[in-house]
Amino acid sequence: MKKNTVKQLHRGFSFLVTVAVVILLLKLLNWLPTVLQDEGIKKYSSVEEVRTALKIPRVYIPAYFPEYINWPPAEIFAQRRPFTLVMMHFTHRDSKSFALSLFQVASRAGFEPTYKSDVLYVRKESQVSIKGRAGNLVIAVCSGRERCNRISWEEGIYRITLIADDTPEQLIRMAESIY
Amino acid sequence: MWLLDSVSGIYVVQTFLHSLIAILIIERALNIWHIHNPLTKFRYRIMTLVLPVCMLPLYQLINSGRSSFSFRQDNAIFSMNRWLSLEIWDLVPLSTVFMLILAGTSFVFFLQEVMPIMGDVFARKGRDLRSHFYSDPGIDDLAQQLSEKLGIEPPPVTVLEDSNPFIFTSGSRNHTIVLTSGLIELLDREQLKSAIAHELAHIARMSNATKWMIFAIRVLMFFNPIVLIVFRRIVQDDEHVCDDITVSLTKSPLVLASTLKVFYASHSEFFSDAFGKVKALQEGMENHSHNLLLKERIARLEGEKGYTDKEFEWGKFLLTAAVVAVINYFVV
Repeated sequence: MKKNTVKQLHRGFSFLVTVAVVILLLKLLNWLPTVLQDEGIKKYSSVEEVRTALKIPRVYIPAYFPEYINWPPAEIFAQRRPFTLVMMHFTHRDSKSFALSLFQVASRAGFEPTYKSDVLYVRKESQVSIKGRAGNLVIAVCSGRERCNRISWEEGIYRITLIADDTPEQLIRMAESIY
Repeated sequence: MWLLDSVSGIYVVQTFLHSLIAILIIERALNIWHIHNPLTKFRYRIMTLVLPVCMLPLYQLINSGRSSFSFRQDNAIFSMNRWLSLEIWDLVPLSTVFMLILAGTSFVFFLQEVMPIMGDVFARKGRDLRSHFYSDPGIDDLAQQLSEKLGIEPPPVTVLEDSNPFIFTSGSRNHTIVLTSGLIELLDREQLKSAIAHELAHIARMSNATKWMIFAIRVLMFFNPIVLIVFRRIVQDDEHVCDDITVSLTKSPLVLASTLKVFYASHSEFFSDAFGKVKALQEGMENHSHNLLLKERIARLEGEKGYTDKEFEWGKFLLTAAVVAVINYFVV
């Protein structure tokens, strides 16, 4: 009886080890491509660095910024694979809190940029024209009652998205100044 | 890219991955729990087929954002997209290699499953076999006695006038055992008893209905190389179960082994006309795989690794299923 219990425990332990090995192996295999081909999101210190690392001719930036937004971006994240993604976060000049996020994503990826905090509700969604291109404007309120309006449109092979704690008018003005 | 972006692409990639993980864990579990009983093995392996098909829609139902970028980035323990977007020497995308594997498996599916059905249909066309069927009272008696032992209704047994040695059971609900005159000539009475007992075991187990069910999954995942392997193993497990039932009825494993040798030696060319080279390739593959499976069954019967009747342990079974289901949830 006792021998049988020990045997069962031993088998149970072996099964646990197998499960652990499978999980570790999967994690390792998930990490490996980042080493093999420079895949995955990385943090960069400047826009120029992103341009060189991603080997893309253009990183879209607005020429117009409201006065309260701090330049350069507080955070820049980018990835080359599995699809091109550039993500910049800008802060308020004074409070250093979130002011604007800019996403440049390969359209084919179908990537949906996330808000800095949870959207409480969407007030209005409408179609707008940005330099003659069809854009989508979303007026929303995020947790903490913050404005988190969003505008997005196709720019060549990329989808550009701006999410800001600002008025729709300012958002459109920034969008139209992007080059 | 279709594999990375579309719903069907996600289905193909994820079901492949999920069956790969399922086969790894389940085969290891069979080893760890020391499961040798073919019936238990059969049940565990069915899990490898069923779980990936059933769980994927359930995962999406639980979490619709499971295939999203953020889930892949933050929650997944493995995301296939990372590998599929890699390029070999910056030239050939790995997704192309993956597609080639799927295409190869689909071709094997065509050869192994579609071609035989087409061959069967063409062979039957214009052939009225009804006049070649007759019944044999001696064989009917044998089937009656064995059916009583098994506790099932004795099915009709029909003999087909044909020199090829064949025996099979037709129908999923109303069964008929069909055997050829060529087989009756080749086998002695004890061997014939084993052959009929084996078919009756299939009837008692409702093997045909089960096979149709797993075949439906095989069709649904025709591109999946893991399913190809598991499907064969499940069929073999079913044959082992029926071999064991046969031995429990006839008490002579060696007679059954000698009966199987008849099929091993002569299985071929029943429908060997038409279709040319592809047909020849398909026949060659089918015969090779059939003979390998027969060889293994003969060795098992001769080695007397027979039936070990042990109660089915639901706890271990459910634990294995739960582990596979949970790990696969985080594999996208």
